[in-house]
Amino acid sequence: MTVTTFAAIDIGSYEVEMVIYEISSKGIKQLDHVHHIIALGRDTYNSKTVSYGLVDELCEVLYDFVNIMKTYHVKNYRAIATSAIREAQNSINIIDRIKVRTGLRVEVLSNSEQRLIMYEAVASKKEGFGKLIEKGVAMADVGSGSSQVSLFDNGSLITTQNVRLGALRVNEMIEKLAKSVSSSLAIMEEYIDTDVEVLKKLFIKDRKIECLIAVGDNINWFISRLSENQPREYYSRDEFMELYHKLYLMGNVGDRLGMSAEQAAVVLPSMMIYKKILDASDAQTLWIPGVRLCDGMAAEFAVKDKKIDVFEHDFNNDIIAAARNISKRYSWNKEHVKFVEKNALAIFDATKKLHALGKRERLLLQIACILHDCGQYISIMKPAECSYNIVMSTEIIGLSHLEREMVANIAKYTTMDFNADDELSGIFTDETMLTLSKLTAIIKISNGLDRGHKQKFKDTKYVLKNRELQIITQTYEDITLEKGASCGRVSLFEEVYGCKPVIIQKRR
Amino acid sequence: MAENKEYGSEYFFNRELSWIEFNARVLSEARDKTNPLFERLKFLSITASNFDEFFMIRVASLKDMVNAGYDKKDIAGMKPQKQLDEIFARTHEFVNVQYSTYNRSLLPQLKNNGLTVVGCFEEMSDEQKEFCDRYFMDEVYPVLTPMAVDSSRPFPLIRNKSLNIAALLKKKNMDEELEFATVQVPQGLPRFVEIPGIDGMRYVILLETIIERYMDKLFLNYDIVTYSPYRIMRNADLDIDEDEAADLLKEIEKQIKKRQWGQAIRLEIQDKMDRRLLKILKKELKIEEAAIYEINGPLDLTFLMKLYGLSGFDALKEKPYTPQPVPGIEPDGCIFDQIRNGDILMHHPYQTFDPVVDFVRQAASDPKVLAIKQTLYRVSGNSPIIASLAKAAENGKQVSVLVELKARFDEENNIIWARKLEQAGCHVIYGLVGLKTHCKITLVVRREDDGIRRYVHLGTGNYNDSTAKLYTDLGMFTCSEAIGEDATAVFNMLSGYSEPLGWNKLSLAPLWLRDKFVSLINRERDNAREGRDAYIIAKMNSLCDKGIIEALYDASTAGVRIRLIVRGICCLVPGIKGVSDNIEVRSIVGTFLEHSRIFAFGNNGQEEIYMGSCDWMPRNLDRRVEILFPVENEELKKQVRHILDVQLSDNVKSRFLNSDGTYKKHPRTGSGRIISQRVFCEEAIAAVKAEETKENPRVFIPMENS
Repeated sequence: MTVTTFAAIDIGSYEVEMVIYEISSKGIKQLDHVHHIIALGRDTYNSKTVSYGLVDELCEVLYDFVNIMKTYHVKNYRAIATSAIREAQNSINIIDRIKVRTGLRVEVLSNSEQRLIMYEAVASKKEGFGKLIEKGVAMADVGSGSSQVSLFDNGSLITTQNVRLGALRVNEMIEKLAKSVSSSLAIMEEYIDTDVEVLKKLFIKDRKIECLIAVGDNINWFISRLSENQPREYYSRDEFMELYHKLYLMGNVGDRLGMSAEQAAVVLPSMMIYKKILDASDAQTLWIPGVRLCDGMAAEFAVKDKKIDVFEHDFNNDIIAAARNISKRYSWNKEHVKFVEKNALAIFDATKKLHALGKRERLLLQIACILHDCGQYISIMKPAECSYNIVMSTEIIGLSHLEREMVANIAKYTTMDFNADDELSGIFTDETMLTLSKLTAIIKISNGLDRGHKQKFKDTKYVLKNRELQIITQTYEDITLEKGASCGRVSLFEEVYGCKPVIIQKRR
Repeated sequence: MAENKEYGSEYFFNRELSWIEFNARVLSEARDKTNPLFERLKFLSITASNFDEFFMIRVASLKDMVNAGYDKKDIAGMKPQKQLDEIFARTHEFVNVQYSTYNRSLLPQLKNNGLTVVGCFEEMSDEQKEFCDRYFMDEVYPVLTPMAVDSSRPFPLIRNKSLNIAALLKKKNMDEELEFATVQVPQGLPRFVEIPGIDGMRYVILLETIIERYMDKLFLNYDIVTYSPYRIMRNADLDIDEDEAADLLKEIEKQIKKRQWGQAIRLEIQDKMDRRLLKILKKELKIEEAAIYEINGPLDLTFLMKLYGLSGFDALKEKPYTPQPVPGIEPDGCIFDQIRNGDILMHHPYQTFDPVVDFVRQAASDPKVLAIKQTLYRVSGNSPIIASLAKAAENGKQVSVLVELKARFDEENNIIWARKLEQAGCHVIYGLVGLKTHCKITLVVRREDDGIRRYVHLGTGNYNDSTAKLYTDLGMFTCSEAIGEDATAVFNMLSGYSEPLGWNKLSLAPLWLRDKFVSLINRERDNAREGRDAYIIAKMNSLCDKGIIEALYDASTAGVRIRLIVRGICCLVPGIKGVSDNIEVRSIVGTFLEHSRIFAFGNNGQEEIYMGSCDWMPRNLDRRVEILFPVENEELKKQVRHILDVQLSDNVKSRFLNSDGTYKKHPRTGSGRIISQRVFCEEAIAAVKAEETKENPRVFIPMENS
């Protein structure tokens, strides 16, 4: 049996932590866990940069972490930073300082990447997760800067939304406004209520939610400190409310619960956010799986590098389901979307020899197809740009930031001229540009085949023959428009693949 | 969980007076004729050194309170000044008993057994006098520094705990004016010297007796009017401002030097001292009347411990006991393999401390070991553990050591070790600001074929191989995953990282331990209320925490049977009708210093047993890092419970606390004498024998009928 050690480092808004795991075919076991309170988020949310002193302290702590990693002979690690660093104007310098002083490479995660990791951490708890999301379930991941609310049904993720309600952010905001403790609690409630209201109206609507999955560091603390008995994973709504009231009335939380001042300051705001979301969702039970970001990183590492089966859950389905949900909101012509998706994927599969792309790219193409015409909802004049903007401002958990940008561009260039020399090449690497152009070429043809939005091409077959992509279709309808749209505008496909698309109409 | 009731000051004893009672129990061992003579010397010596420490710390801090105008009453309702008054009254009485024991009982008996302590010069033979002449001129005279006081020479610094001789001098052929002079009895020389014997009788003479004889040699141009030995005790409580101190190590070094200058809080003089001399001392040392002890005999009886070491009197000493091997641990085997076979319990000093030393030693050179982490509180003079840790660091292991610099009176020692470890490449942590690290834990992280495995040693006593031969302590080896995880978290916490979310098995002071104890006690109370059998057996060194005592009173009221084995201070008042009639407190003072802490709770038939480094004292529960650990292995649990049972059945060395604060001996009934410490010695020897026969089963081969 091979045993690997893996270190996961999470640079959060008020705490840095490292967990060292032992990964083997038996699963993932935690070996060591250290955390250090450091309020990076306070600097970022107040002054937009992290001060020199804190960066210095951060480097020192990380240097210690490196030493602890050495103790366990750790070779693989992943270090990530979340909103406090992401939103800091000096984030590039901070990452560089860390690299120079400690040798650690720190990735700054986008919100959706960060949420995916947390989501993976939850999903790695196979026993609880798979069964639970068969029914209507909401997941609240309350962080320091913002919170993520996701809805599940029938085994996959339906929708997810980021709200700028973070424990530290709320606390900082209220501290500036409030004059007394009692009034600050009231202001805090009001402040949180407005955002949660929107969340309820737009996302939760009248969905039936049976259980709220509550994740985040603060709720883990809260449960372990306030429960009189051994903390559990499941709580009924009433039990949770009882604990919440205990906290609400406690006053000096830090001394009572043996917490540092920084921690004590965020515990009540975050619990209030959970409570409000619980109210909005009307869920009757709470699942507190007690996981943290580091667990998600370990799970991802185990799956990708060690091929160890950690999840039962299919994350690709979530991405597709989420995309369909967005499309449902914006697209007026579902049949057209379906057509483009089906045919683009068929072309992709038929041209495998030419593009040599994999499953992940196929998924990106599929998402782009599903979302390609949602811009029309905003503007008929500029649908391409609008599609781009919708994709870019909609969270799709499971896609990395780069992937999201790729999808947005593919959607945009479905109807616009694709020119590799324009602004794109400044944003993407050559390799990415190539993938982008390959996928765009395919979607352009597929879209062209339904130029009339009448889905005239039925039972279409795609065959590669003599440097031609033969599009064999059986239709009695007039396809002049489509012929012109797809084979007239072939330049990109030909340019990319060196192969000409030809429509062969078979009339029987 | 219901809160516990509050109890008024009449329900508590004052801790200082309770401590004096404890010292009185030690003294009564010195007076106990059934003890071998030399053991009695040892007990008397212990009472003396106990008192020195008591004055330097406890009396000093009460003095500080009085000086600062702090007027708060203690749990027994006494203000600081009132406590001081009582302490002085009781200790004067106590000193009288000490010296009557020495003069009337021990000295004559020593003489009967062939050893004379020479009281004055005139008693000696000429040969002996000549020996002393030579000894004084060759050894003593060169290191003496007599100091006179006059207008140009101020009163010198008299060092804390040093023995001195004061003298009044008159210049030869001059006017009548008297001058004061003092000379320190050198600490570098042995306090007594054995001089030539006569007819089988051996003689020892005290160093100050020799110096007194030659006083005129020290002050050549003077006539000695009078002289007399004296000794002072100073306030030695370190006053360290940790928040201000940039480098704790340096700050403590500085304070140790300052200790010599603390306020004088006790003056011991010989009872024949000239009043003029006393007046000068009183004025210069600014000492009050009550703090002056006039003593009929030699000052500073701690020399008796050295006298005990005199060879040739083995018949008058307890037979020396050799700590026995621990069954289940092959001295030459791999300790890690043996721990993997199951948790191991060790009872020191009945069983040897070697496995603990071995544990660290093997870890230092085991190629599979990645890291060693250990807390060190008081370390022995030439500690093999320190040497192993240093070696481990040199072998490339990650070694983290928490050295508690604030361990009282060991500060100097600790600084030396800390430096040594740092030089070897260990990561040395000097404790947490505001908290003393008192827990005793060692963690060895090992990379094995199936992953990382952690080995933990938890104990009730310090990692000190010398005191492990004198203090009774318990230790446990385990490689349980749950405890291993907790141990890692303990060291992370001690290194300055935040506490973990929760603990698997361990309970830690200062954050969680008090609640844990109170909830364990209250669970018994609730069980008793519901009519279930409920009991608590707890063994510790001191019990003076108000919250815990109140919880115990509540439990007793509810009907929980509580038996406490408290060696030292006990502020709980047993036998109060309706409050503590179910509580029984006993104290065991024996050859070994009772030191282990064991806590057993009935838990409605599912008995739970815990051990740890903490007493039920506010300082243990609120200002120290302490660990309480459960004993879960059934076999081990039986062993620990057996230890408690044997102690409870001790009918010779145990004394019961009365409601008035005094102690009375065990009312011995029919069954024979049971001395628990002796039982443990015998059992340890028997266990080794049993193990040997198990390994080489003796087989009797019957003779065949041929």
